[in-house]
Amino acid sequence: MKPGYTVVLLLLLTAILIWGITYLSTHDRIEEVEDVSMLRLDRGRRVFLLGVQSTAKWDSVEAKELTQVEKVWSIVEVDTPRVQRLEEQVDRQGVTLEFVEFEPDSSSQDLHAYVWLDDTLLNAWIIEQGLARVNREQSHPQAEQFLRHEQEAKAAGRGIWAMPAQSASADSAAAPN
Amino acid sequence: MAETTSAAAPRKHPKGMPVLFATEMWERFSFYSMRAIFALYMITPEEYGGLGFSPVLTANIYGAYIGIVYVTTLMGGYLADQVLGIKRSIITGGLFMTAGHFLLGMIIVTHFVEGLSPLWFFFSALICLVVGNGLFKPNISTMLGNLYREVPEKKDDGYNIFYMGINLGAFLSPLVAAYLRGLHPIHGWHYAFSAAGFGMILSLTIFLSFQRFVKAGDIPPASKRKVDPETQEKARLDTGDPKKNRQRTIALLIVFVIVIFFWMAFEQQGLTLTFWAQNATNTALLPETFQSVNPMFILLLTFPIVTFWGFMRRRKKEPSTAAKMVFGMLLTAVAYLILAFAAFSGGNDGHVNVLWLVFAYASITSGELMLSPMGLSLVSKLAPPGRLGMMMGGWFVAAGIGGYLAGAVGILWEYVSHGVFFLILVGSSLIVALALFTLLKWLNPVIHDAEQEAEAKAA
Repeated sequence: MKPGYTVVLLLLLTAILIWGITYLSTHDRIEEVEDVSMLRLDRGRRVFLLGVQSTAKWDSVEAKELTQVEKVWSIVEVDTPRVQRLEEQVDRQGVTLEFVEFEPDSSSQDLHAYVWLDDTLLNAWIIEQGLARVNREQSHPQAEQFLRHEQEAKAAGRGIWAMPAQSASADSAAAPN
Repeated sequence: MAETTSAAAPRKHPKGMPVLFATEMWERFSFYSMRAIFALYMITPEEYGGLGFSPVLTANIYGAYIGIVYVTTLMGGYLADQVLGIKRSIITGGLFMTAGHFLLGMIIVTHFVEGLSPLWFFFSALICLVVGNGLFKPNISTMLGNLYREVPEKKDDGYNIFYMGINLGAFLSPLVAAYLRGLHPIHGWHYAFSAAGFGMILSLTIFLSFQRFVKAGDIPPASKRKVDPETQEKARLDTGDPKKNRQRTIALLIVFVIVIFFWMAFEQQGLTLTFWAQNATNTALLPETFQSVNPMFILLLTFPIVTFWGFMRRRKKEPSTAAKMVFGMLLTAVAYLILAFAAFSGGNDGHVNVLWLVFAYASITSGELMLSPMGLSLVSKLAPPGRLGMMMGGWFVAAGIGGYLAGAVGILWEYVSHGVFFLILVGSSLIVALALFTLLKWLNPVIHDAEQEAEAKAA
C-alpha cells in the first residue's frame, strides 16, 4: 500500500478511536442502584443523578493513619423501598449520560449527569414518581423543570408525598418506558 | 524466519526477534498494568479498597518508584555483564517482577484477615518490582541487539518492531486493568494487580520455551568470557580525538537535561493526568483507561510522522535531530497548555469534556516521537570511545531523575489549582525548548558529525 494511503488510513483509525472514546464515555450499563440519586455503572464509575436529592443517610468516616484526605462520606442507611422501586425499572439497563454545565455545591469529585434510559430522562422520572425530592443546591439547565415535576408529584400524592393510606397505590405508578 | 547469507536473497530478521517481541510485549503489559492503577490505589481511601495515602505521600512514592525503576537498569546491566550473563538476568528479573505483582495481588488477603496490614505486602512488592525491572529491561534490549550481529542493516527495523511490541503491551494493559478493577469496588484492585502477574508469567514462559531461537543473543558474564587481549588493548588505546570527545560529551549532557524535563512532564500520565481523568473529566470510563491513549497514539502516529520526515528529507528540508527535540519540547508545552485551558474553562472545580485530555495526549505523544525513539541511538553515536556504557547509563539516570521529578512536581497538584499546575509544566517545557533552540547552532554540527561517522562505520 502506498505510504500516503497508509497515513490516511491510520489517521482515519485515529478519528474512529477518538469517536469510540467519546461514545464509551457517555454510554454504559447500570450495575447497581446504590441510592435513588446514585448509580454504579458497569465499568465501575459512580454517577450522581443531577438534580435529585439523596434519600439515604450519610455519615463521614474518620481519617485513618497516613490519610490526610478529606473525610470520606459513605451511605450508612439506604431508603430501601425507593431503591428497590428504582432497581425494578433500571437495573442492568443501558443508559446514556448527558453532561451539562452546572455549578457544583462543593468541590465534588463525583460524576453528575442527566441519565437517559432510551428516551426517558431518569432524573426527571424519579422526581415525577415521588421517589426523591429535587436537590435545590444544584444549579443546572433543567432545575426549574424538575421543580415543576416535584410540584406535580406532591399534588398527586405520589411516593414520598403520599399520605400513609395512599402509599400502596402511589408506589405502583408507571414505569419509565 | 531463517537467516540467509545469500548475496541474491534479501537477509531476514533473526528467528529470535518475534520471541523477544512477545516476551517484551507481555512484560510491558505487566509493568503498565501496575502503573495504570498504582497512584489511584495509593490515594483511594481504605473504605474503597485503597491505601488511603495523602496526595503528597502518593506523589512522593510514585516519583521514587519511577525514578528508581530507571536507575536500577544500570545495576541490572552491570550484574548481567559481570555476574549473571544476559539470559539469567532476564529470567531472574522476570521472577522478581512476577513476585512483585502477585504480592500486590495478595493484599486482597488483608481484606479478610483482621489486623494484617497491606503495607508489608505493598513495599515488598515495590522492592521486587524495581529489582526485577532493573535486571530485565536493559538486558532484553541488549539481547535483541546481539541477535542482529549477522544482519546489522536490519537492526534499526528490529528495534522499531520491538518498540511497537512495547507499545502494544502498554496499550492493552490499562484497558485490562480498568476492566478488572471495575469488577468489584474493593477487591478489583487486586484482580488487576494479579493480571499483571499473569502477564509476567506469560512473558517468561515465551522466553523460556523458545530459548533455542534467542541463545545467540546471550552473552555470559565477564568471568566466563574469552577475551582477546589484543582487542582489549586496542579498545583501551582507541580514545579518539580529545576535542571531539569533549564536544560530544557536552552535547550528551545537554541531551540528558532535555530528557530529564521531558520525562518529568511525560510521567505525569501515571499520576496527575490520571487524577485529572478521575476528578475533572466527564466520562463513564475508569481513569486508568486513559493511560492507553499514549501508546495508542504511538501505534497510530509513528508511521505518519516517519513518512512526514521522509517527505521532508527528500526535499532536503528535514530538521536536524536537535531541532526535532526542540519541536518535541514545544509539543509537550502545547499538551499542557491544552489542559491548562481546560482547567480554566471549568476543570479547576468541576468536570470538562474528556477530549481535552485525549488531545493533550496526542500532543505529548507527538513530542515523545520527536525525542524518545532516537534517544539511545543518539547516545551510542555521541558517546566517546570507551565511554559507551557510562553514557548509556547516563541516559537511564536522566530518565530516572525525570521520573523522580515527576513525583516532586506532582506534589504541587495538592497546593495549586489544576490550571496553575499545568502552566508550571508549560513553563518548564518552554524554557527547555528555548534553551535548546539557542544552542542549536553549536549542537547541530556536533551531532551531525557523529551521525555521519556512525553511518560510515555501518556502511
